[in-house]
Amino acid sequence: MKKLGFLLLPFFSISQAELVNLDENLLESVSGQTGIGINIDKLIRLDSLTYSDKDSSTGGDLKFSDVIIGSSSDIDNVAAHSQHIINIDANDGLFIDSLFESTRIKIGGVSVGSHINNRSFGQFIFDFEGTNLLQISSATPTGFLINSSTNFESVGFQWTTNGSTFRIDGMTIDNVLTDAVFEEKNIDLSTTALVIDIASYSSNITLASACFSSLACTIGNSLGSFSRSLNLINSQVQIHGGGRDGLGITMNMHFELDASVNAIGDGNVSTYTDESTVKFAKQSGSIDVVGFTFDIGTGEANIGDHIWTQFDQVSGNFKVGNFEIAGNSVGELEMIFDFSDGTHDAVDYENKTLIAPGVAFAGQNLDSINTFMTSFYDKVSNTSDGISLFNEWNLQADFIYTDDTHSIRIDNYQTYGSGYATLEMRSGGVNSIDATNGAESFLAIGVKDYRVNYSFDGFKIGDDTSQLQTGYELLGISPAAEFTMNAAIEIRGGGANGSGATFDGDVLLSNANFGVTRNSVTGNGIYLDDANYEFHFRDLTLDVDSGGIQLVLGELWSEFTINDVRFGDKNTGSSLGALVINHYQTGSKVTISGGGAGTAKCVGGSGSDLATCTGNWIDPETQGLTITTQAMLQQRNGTKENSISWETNRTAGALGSGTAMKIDNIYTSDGYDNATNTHGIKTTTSIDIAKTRVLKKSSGVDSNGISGNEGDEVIVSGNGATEYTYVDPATADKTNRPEGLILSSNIQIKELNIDAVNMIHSNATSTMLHGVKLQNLNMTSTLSVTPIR
Amino acid sequence: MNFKLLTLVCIASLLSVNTHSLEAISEEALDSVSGQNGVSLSGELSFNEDGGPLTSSDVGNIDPNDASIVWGTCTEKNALTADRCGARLAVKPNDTDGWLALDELKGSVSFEGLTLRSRDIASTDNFGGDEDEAGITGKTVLEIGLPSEVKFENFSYRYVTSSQGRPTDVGYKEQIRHGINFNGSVQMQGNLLVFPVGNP
Repeated sequence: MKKLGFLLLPFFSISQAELVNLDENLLESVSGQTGIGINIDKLIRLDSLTYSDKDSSTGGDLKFSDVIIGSSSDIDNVAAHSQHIINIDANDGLFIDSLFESTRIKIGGVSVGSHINNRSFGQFIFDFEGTNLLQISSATPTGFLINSSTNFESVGFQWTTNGSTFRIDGMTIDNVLTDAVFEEKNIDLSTTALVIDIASYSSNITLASACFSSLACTIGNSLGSFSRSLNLINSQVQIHGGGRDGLGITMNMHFELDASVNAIGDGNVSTYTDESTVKFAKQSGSIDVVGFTFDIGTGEANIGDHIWTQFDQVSGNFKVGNFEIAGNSVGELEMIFDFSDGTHDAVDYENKTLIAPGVAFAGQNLDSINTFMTSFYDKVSNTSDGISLFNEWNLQADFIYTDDTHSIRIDNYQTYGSGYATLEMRSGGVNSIDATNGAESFLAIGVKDYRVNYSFDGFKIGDDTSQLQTGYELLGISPAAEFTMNAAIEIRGGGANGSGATFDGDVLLSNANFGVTRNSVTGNGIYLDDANYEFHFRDLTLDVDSGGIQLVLGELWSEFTINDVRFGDKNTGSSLGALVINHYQTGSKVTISGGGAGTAKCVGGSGSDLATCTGNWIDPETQGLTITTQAMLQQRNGTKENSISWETNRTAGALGSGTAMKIDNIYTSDGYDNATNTHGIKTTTSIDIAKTRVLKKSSGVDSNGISGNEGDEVIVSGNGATEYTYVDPATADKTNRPEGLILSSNIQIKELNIDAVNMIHSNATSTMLHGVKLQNLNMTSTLSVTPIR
Repeated sequence: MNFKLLTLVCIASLLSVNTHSLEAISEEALDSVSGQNGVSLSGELSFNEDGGPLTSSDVGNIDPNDASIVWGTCTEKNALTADRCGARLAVKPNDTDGWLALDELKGSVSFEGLTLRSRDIASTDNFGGDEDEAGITGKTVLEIGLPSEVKFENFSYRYVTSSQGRPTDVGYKEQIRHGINFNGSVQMQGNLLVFPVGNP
């Protein structure tokens, strides 16, 4: 839909001209042009503009209130000026060459159905100036052939709720539509649609800054700048009347990114720039949208009347040829996706989003979820402006990451779920989840009862024919999870340095089950069952600088309660007991940067290259991903602490009824006393895909039916699960070793303390250890991860 | 400091382990198991190759007994300008007495073919008759396949008892009980099965 919006943008300017009378006197001042010259001074007020798909039994109204069009300098009193030259050429058709001086469109309110006159999505302002050249001629054999070129600058956007504003400043829009054919066609036996065939479309958009302020953005409060260059070819949009329920709009769309532009420079690219840039360059792929519908729906249980968008299927593939962080390449990312309806546990899941005005849960007592939810929604009322959403989805996808031509695939990812969210702007500490925050405005995001389910089969290194394996355990990724998310999150402009973003949040994942490792065939594995994970973060900042993506975690505390660590079935397998893990950190940092370990090395042997290495020669080449962390574990502060408790022998599985071993009050210090804590736990982990040595563990036939002798090397002839042989290392062609996931890491600890290890039973505590100190650790590891053959 | 160091050098020792929680590998037996699960790991761990994050220039880095520099790089240690460069893990077993510590831990360990996976134990799986005693038939276990070879290179530590947790603490005294310096390789065979028992 976002793409469609930009496609239609050139035509919005045309429709404005139809709203006003021509000023013949001003027309006389235009001279020396071929055709007709028209000058228009617009100062337009519309009390309301209503779209309705209401019929006898379904549908409703979408109302735009208090619409004003005028000059950006003074919309209430100064007209917006535009100049249009219209020319008709016998061969090339109708030309309309338009110049728009600074223009503002202001919408006082947007609301739906029964919410009208009660609460709104907020107020919207759109500023622009620029030119548009439109050419309309006859297409062959039928229809209209349309070409257009739009160049807007000084474009601005503002969204205001309850007196607080989000704004985008300094936007430029340059769009070129080439040889688009508009015609009415039968798209099936019973449906006639407006069909737009788009031979070529290019769009370049830049955003100088975005912030939460009624005033122009500054470096200190800006979220950063953004840009996007998009080129489409051979695309099509079909539009016809009739929604999913009665009246409405239905669309089918096909979009294909023009990969030819990727041959030079960044091609199709999206960037985010703070002090440095994150770039998604050389984008390619195609997307098909089938049965997208737009209706006005009524009576949803929590959000009431709403805009109802839904699609039957969205499928395709999207590739980022070069993902770059601060000038260093991570590699290539690809997603092959299919959003379609599905049924899970006898529940049908569709892909739809319902959007209603206002804050649906304002003023509600949500203590049964968590008191932070009640507190969050206490700060707005049922007449507050905002956006309330209900979202439901069902997706199957494969994700592929390629590092220096070596690929890893997250295979058969499936996710489905549904839930509610609200968005609105607020200002001031009194309206914040952290009262110590200042007077600035911020985006408040509420998430309620968001039930998320996902799973994937495992990794495949190579391609889709390669052998499935795990390895996600080592990256801290769960292969299957289900949880209900409730959250209160605030986003402010400005990071730790200059532009960026700052986050505060309270998040609860409840009724959760997380897989640790899992057999994708049987579903059996090790699971964290009946879990609740409550975590809180304050003053978490996000910046991008020359070192990469920088996260400074401010204050972070959490409690992760796992009622059963199960072996076997995720809900009924044998339990190892309960785990309770508490975290408390302040000032911790995470840096994500492009490029992997970089340096080739001979692991477990000696030698300076592949030929001479007596161990495993690992060459991570240039691309890859490196994550650096500094975890500052703090001593207990009230209920905030670092601890791990394992409890067994409970009565009916009730937490607190059994015997627990608690590793209590874990914290870092700098090595010479308990109070100085500036170093923490520093880790650097690089993730690469590279060739690696794999030796047979014992003689005989392996699990893939390939035979060999103990100590033989795996030598591959392709990516397939059985495309390898076992070869005596003395004669093996080492250049055809298999690929593996390579994890290179270093961990440095000046001092890690544990106050005590206690045994706890019926509230009686017996201390096993009265202290543990780990000092001066500097551990470096290189692991190659391959499937079990 | 006064200490004694006992150095053991083990070259190519051969370890064969077989208990009821360890299972001899039978690759043929794996034929019936789809190779769609688990992971094989090979790699190297290196500890304090040239010291740790505590440096000789740190404030407070002074031996309270002889005013020498306690922590430094291994180059500084070899030059006798610092006392230690390895990692130290100390535990205090009771409230009134001192600490037990693995001290001056450094060196490297490499291994080939450590496997991890979840495994469903079938009634046809044979653990030499121990499966009934262990009661694992029908259960899902975490199977840790021991690496075929583990190589140690200058892997060393010493076991000490000490009066204080930190070597820089006032009143620190230590007694070295023994030391290990390990070079060579260990060959292994078998699987370690981990599974819950008893009342959770």
